[in-house]
Amino acid sequence: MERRKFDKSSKRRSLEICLYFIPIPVFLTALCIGAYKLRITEVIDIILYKICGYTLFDSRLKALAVKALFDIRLPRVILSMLVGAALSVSGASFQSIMKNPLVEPYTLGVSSGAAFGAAFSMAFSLMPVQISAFAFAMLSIALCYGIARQKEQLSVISLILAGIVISSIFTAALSAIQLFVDPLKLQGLIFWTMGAFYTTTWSKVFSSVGFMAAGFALIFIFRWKLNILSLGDQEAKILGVNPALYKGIIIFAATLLASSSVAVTGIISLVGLMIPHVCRMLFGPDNKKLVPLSMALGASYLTVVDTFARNLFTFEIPVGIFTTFLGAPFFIILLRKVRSAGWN
Amino acid sequence: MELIEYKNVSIRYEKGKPVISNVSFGLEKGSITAFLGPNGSGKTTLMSALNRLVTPFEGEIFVDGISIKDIPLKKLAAKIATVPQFSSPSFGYSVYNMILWGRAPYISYTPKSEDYRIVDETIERLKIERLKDKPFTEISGGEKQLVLIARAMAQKTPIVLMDEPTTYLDIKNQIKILNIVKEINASDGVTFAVTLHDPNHALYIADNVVMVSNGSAVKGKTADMMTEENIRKLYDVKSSFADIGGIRYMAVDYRD
Repeated sequence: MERRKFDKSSKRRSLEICLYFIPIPVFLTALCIGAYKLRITEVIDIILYKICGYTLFDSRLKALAVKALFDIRLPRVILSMLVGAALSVSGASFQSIMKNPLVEPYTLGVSSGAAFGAAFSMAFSLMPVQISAFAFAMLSIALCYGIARQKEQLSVISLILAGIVISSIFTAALSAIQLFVDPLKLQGLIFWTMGAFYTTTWSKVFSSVGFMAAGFALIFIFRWKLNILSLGDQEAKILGVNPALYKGIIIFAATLLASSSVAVTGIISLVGLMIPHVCRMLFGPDNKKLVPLSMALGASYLTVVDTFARNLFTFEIPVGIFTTFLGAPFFIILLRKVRSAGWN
Repeated sequence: MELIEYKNVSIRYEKGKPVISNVSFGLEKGSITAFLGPNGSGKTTLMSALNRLVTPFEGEIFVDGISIKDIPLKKLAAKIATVPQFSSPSFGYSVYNMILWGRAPYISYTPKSEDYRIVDETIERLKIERLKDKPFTEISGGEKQLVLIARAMAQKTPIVLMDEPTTYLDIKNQIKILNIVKEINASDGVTFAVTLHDPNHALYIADNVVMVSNGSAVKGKTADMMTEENIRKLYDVKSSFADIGGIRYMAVDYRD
């Protein structure tokens, strides 16, 4: 009995270590796959050549291969990893602080708020895309929280319903922008709202990486405290954790992650719901592990899905369509599970 | 000097009528004090003011001579641990982790080896090794109460507050919890403040009793306070007391 238990926990530990490293082979494989196929040794050599000026496997580097990899595929794969990790960590954080297993940036209306903000900035160029996306994402979370909170209580279902309402308002506002926008910008805007990486450039990576790094750092530092916050305000207080302060920090960081993702890729839904739950099922709900594991799995998942999205057909399908089709059944299963355990 | 001192404390919720009015008393170091009173009398409110879950609109509460208003939340949690009536986490944290959360006042980022050592010791002391890997959400009510006590013990505080720890438990588990409180108090000198519904539990464990009713509170030695007259005033029931096997018991007249 003891031996079986030991075997199970050591297997789980091995799986956990594998999961931390899985983004590396996913990253290299995704760089190899595409219209212009590359060997893994070529990929490594091109990256090394561009960064350090020498190669490891002495591959014959063609100018086209260097261009395809370094200017097109590399920023795209890096961005898909960053966005996958950001949405997953954001989802895991929102689920903990709101004591609600069904929330994520999309169901809370944060993604729609950020999408409106970003589209508003793209259409009218009044302020930087990232700032506008963040401001409207914060506005949606504040509205959602305000509507759902009654007498110090935050029920599971009211939060979801408030998220649907807020999301609908911002989606309608986004449609209104599309009516007024210059027809030349319209097609890009519509494609962007579906959630896609096809327009990725190094400048998009650089414009979001700083915001994302700040969001990741804050949540990583306070990830253990997320456990205490998930017990509710009263228990957090009796354990000496100031709920208002730390919830504020986490909401700020999680919104920063979600909004900076939406600003560069559009709405990619349900990644933030699915990935943290898969990690919880495999390794338990302790946020000390859950946050880094969600980061690794989220980065890998979105990169794999995006690699399919750009290679499955001769034309590109926005990755957001795939994540929704994959995430929706997951959401329904979770909803049924939560409903059988009671709405609150 | 008393370890905890309530000085002219008045508490109300949202500008309503005060639940507690101008209450003053002290709790001695190393004592067990039971808060007794009918439903809605304000005994939990009175205790919740001590861990700052509610704030008095008048008066002050002192711990070790320092007003709790001036003690940061984290430092207060290193002085006062609370065992809530229940805890309902949304995720199935393991019992081990639930106890580890008790180390929160001492942890800035993530737990250190010292924190894990204290949790292991606490689990061994309460003999709950068999529970440690189980999800907290899947254990019985009595086991949950034990785990919440273990969490308070891991918090290593000189004061522990307990809110109706025996309310939802069967008799066997009630006895277990009461004896654990007595044992921790005797061996570690921890000061306990416990709200209770059953006066017999107060007779068994408490050195002092605070009787709370109609917004006021009166404190005294258990032997002096637990009289037929006081019980009638507090609960409006007839009672009688008897000593059996060296323990004092109270019986109530069930005929209305």
